[in-house]
Amino acid sequence: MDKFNDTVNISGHDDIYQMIVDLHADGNEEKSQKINAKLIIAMINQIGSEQIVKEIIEMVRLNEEKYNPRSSTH
Amino acid sequence: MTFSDIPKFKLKEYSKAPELSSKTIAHKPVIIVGSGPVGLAAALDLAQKGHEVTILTAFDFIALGSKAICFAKQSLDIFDRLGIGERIIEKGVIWNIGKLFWKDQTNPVFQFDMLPVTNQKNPGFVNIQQYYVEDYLVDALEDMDNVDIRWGHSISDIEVRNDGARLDVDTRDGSYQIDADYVLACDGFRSKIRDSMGLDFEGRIFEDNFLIADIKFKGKAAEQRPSERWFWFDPPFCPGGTALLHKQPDDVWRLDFQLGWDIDREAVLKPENVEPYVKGMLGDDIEFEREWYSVYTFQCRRMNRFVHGPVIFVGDSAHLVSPFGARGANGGLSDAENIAWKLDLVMRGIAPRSLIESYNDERIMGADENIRNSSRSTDFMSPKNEQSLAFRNAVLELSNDYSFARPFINSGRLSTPTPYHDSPLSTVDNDEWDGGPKPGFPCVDAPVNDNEDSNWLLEKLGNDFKLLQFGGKAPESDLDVINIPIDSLAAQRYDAHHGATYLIRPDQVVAARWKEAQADDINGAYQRAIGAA
Ligand SMILES: Cc1cc2nc3c(=O)[nH]c(=O)nc-3n(C[C@H](O)[C@H](O)[C@H](O)COP(=O)(O)OP(=O)(O)OC[C@H]3O[C@@H](n4cnc5c(N)ncnc54)[C@H](O)[C@@H]3O)c2cc1C
Repeated sequence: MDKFNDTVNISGHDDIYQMIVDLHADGNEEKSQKINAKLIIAMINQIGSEQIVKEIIEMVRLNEEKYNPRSSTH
Repeated sequence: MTFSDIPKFKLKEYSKAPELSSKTIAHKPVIIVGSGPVGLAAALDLAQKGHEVTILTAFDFIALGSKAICFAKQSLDIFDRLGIGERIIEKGVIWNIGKLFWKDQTNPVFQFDMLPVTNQKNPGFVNIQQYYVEDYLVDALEDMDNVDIRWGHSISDIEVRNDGARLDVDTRDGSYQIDADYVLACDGFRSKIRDSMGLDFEGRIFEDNFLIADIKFKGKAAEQRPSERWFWFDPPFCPGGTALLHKQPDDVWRLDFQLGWDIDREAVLKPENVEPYVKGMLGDDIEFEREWYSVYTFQCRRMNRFVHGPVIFVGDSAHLVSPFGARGANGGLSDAENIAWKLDLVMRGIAPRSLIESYNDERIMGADENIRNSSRSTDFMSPKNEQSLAFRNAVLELSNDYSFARPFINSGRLSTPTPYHDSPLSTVDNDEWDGGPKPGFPCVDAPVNDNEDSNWLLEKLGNDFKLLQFGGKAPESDLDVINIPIDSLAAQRYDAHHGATYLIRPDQVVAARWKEAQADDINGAYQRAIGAA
């Protein structure tokens, strides 16, 4: 079965990071949200596996919860 | 009661209840409450199976207002079995093309073809006003001697008793009581029966209003417009909202506009306020007449259980969905066919009473799937926060140029039959199969003799338990056998090699299948399918 690879799988990290930051250079919040959404949608299609997408979503959820536990008022 | 605010398609004759002039309380085997599409279909099904059927309905007319128009293939298959399928197809508008528009662009972002799997008797969808469907069902019911339709008989209370239920009925001549072994509560989403029994109806209310304009085109416009489903996101004539256009019979078109939450309902419905929407969508030179204007809000909710002893909730009384996806009436008709065969076998003493419980299991699966799909469509159409709006718009902008994003567009996922995964009535496969409908799944149609317009498999199935035998000889059993040639498209669609057998339920759902069946297998699976295992 397809599995999410949680080890390093690509090179050129600094260039890639820079490209993403540049994409958000104009600082417009609404635009940025949409740009991120487009990135996610395109990458999901590129991943091509519902199972891996599920695992990534789960990984992000757990990571987020670990460092930013939900406040009880939420 | 006069229901003076409800527009009427056809008046029906009220008749005085014989119980009003009698001291004893009549006792009926089954009473169906409600004359919507669901109650009428359940009644006709049971009547055709030979039962004495009593229908009590508050209305003394068939209503005209804007309700269901899109009827899905599985409903057409049901109508076929009930004998009104051809009338519906003849009157209805078959459509295959759906187009999605965005903002003021005149070219669609996306176009889909609903052309169903070819070589099946019925098309994927037919548009026809709900009142025609009700009218045809009533015609068929009125032809039967074992059916008593009581128009203008309104239920005010119900009492569940040891041996059935007792209904309090109001009529213009006074009130009476009547008893039944079983009551099918098909009394719509405001169900009086549900309220009287103090039962729950939980779910989500969507904070939105939709304007529905059913209009009749005049002049040339009608002929020029193709019968396609057109859907808009954020069009200039309905900024920030969605809009939908559908063709109906008689040159009537349904226009649907999302208005948002904070509106003045009365003002919105004034013809001078509807007109700009219509012209915005169809052009300034359009000539039209109003058939009916209404505003609706919607909810997705269901009862926790549909079966409460002798009282069984069917259709909108049990579950309510948003109209996107055409799942209300279509889902309710699937409920009706599911309960009809089970109640038939129980009332005839063939199946144990516990078979009725499987209606609860299976149709809750159906309702949940419908609610899930229509909630998701609604969330796509009216995003609830900035992030979801960003995703929605990202999908639309990408889809304009790239096909990969288009399947994310959700303008309503149209109704298909729900498979009953893990149904208690199914016998799990023992053999290896490479395709074909699994136990719990609906039968697919196919020509039996590779002759395109005759010999449809679903027609042969009818509405009894059947064995489908693909080549070879069916093992000994009391069930009717349909022999299917092994070189047919039907055999291919059922992944059937020589000697394969399928056991099919009366609602045309697969109960079990074998590559090589023994008499004991078939008997065991049949017992399980009638809840006797
Ligand atoms: C705008 C709109 C568009 C829709 N489009 C579609 C679509 O395209 N496809 C689709 O599948 N669905 C659609 N639906 C949903 C569909 O109309 C309903 O799901 C369907 O009418 C439900 O049928 P029903 O028989 O369960 O209930 P109803 O049609 O509501 O019938 C209820 C019946 O109960 C009777 N009744 C009520 N109270 C009492 C009482 N106290 N005593 C006796 N009788 C009583 C009434 O007289 C009535 O006959 C749409 C709905 C709306 C509002």
